[in-house]
Amino acid sequence: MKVGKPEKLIVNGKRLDGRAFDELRPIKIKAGVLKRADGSCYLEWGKNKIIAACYGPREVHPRHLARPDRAILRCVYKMAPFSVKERKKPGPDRRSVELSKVITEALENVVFLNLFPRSAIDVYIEVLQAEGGTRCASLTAASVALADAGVPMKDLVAACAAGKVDGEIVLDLFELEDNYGEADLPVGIVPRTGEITLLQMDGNLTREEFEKALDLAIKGALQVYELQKAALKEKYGGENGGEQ
Amino acid sequence: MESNSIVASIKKDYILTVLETGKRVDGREFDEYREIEIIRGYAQRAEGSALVRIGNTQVLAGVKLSLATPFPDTPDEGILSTTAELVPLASPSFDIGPPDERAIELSRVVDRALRESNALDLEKLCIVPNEKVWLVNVDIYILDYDGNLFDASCLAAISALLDARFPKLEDDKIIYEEKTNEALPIKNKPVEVTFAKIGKYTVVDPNLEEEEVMDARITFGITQENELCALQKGLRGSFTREEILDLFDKAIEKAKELRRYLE
Amino acid sequence: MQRKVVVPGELVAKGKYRLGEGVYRVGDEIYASVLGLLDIKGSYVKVIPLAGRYIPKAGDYVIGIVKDIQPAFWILDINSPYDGILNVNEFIREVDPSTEDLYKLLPVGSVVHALVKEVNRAKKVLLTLKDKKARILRKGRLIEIEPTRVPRVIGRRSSMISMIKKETKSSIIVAQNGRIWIKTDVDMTKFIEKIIRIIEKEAHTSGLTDRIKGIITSKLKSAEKGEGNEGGEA
Repeated sequence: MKVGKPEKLIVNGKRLDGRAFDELRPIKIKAGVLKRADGSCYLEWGKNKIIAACYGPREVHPRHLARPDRAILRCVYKMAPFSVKERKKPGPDRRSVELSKVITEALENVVFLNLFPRSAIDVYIEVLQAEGGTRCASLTAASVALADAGVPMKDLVAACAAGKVDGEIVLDLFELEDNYGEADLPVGIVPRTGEITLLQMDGNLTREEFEKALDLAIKGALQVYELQKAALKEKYGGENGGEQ
Repeated sequence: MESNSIVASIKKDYILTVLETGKRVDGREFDEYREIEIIRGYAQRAEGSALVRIGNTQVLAGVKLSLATPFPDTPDEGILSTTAELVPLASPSFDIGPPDERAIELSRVVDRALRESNALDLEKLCIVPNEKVWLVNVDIYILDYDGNLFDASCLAAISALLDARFPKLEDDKIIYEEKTNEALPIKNKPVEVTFAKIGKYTVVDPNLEEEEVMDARITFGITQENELCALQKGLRGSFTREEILDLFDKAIEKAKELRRYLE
Repeated sequence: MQRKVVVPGELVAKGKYRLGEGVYRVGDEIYASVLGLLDIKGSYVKVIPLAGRYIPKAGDYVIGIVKDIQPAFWILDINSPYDGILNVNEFIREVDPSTEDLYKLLPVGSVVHALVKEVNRAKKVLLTLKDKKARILRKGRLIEIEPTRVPRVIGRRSSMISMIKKETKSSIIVAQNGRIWIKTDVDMTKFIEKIIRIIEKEAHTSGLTDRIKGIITSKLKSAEKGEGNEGGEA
């Protein structure tokens, strides 16, 4: 058994933070929180605190990366040194490079990149406080920041993880479950079409468990999607705030 | 924090025209700060943190504590280390990658104020001389850049240090999940006050527009005893001896104002 | 007029519509592609964007800042992903680059109001000053707003900007790329800047022109009484 693992992650049918198996942590999303950025998003997901900012479309630096037929999308995922228990040394590590890549690819699917040849759209994601599940939270925030910047997209991307803890399939793993559970399955979806654009898995699941976890994660992501839409509309006074 | 974008030449003309009328582009007096707000405890995985807003500028500082071996020349003192990151989400002129010269200057100037004012009683951070001391990392994170990062970063750093509580120490291991009630040994609360020189005028707390056209910049680190603990002149322009002495007096007055936010 | 705020991916119409900006079609269904205000007129559907950078197109007027100089052209920052190119033969008057110094004609940092002549497939943006509205801007205040708010600052058939210019007796140029140039005395410049910021912030609300007119009127009144030289109580 791993050091620090609680004896049980599920007690009397409840998870250690009191949630039901299919319950999300509390989520708060706010669009347009930074002045300089073209678009931005602040997101609290449980105890995760994340800020995402979008710049672009803008000139590409270095220039040789420019594509003649479309914009390039670059998402950078980063953790603040004080966002975790033991201080994280500044600078990229292998994990954040990988997460940046999968988040970028998940969003490339929805952004109309062909509209802005020879330009770059940059999304910077900063994790200020981490409590497990930062990749789904980051993808969710990045997608709101892109929309807030006015970048044309076929849809938002919403994300949520499911996993296996003490033999049970549960939604939205928090840190302890993430560290000591049997599996973690982050899923990013395009809600309008149901397409899956981010998918990773870490652990062990049977065919049956996988299907159950995947469906649960999709259900969770759809709830997240509603919060994303509401946050963007809220910036302009809600659904019917617009008069002109 | 000089930006590397091209600035319209008429911008400086206009800013100077406004300064001639005795006011600034955003309506402030020459010696007036923008609105200041400090939120302590913003990042809860840090042992201490503070988000500082000066106008639209936003800076977050986090303090992490860990155990380290002391430096051989100070065997009975803890270690203070300050870094600053110009996070690319804060400005189109900030890049990803290792800290550039602007970030390094910023962290060094804040570090100087903390160190030379003896903000932290480093001897009280010693656990076993020659063997084990507390390492205090102050990480400054620029989130939104609208000018005057020096003053905002110093306020954030000292506020985060004031907010910090020791984690539990058990069998030489830190239990980060359990914070004690014990605060860090803070001996002084330095603040920094920055002026921008534009033409013949000097203004405190320059915003981005003013920084884009300023000729020179000067930052005073002031202790709670109103003494100087750090000084940094920046950019190509210059100051006269009299200007510097005059600004020092003004900095002392402004420092009193800033220190009220640390109560 | 009440307009719904829509987000990318939101279903906005079904069936036979002509599509404007900010929407796309999948089969019979039409979806928003940007965050904006839904605008359906008869069989025409579009989404008026609430955010987004300026993308140049021929016929637009832009305010550019000279950022580099080459032997036969200037490169201008036009607040867009793409730079503007001003060829020497598009300068206000005839220039012989072999005898005249481009660095003196338009030094780095110069500001011009130019017409976008052409945007080619490689996204080269060709500008010209050979147009009666084009000019070099000397002195004055240059500010930037969200480019998507420009139509609101201009107003329907220029109603907003004409009103502001007339009431404040000022020269103002509002360019498509979100840059605005104001020339009048310092006090009035600050006031106009404040008004423009209000329009930018409240662009999606109704009754804006009347509200702005009210603010200007009361400012001018208090100025007559010798008060309010702070730029108005906006």
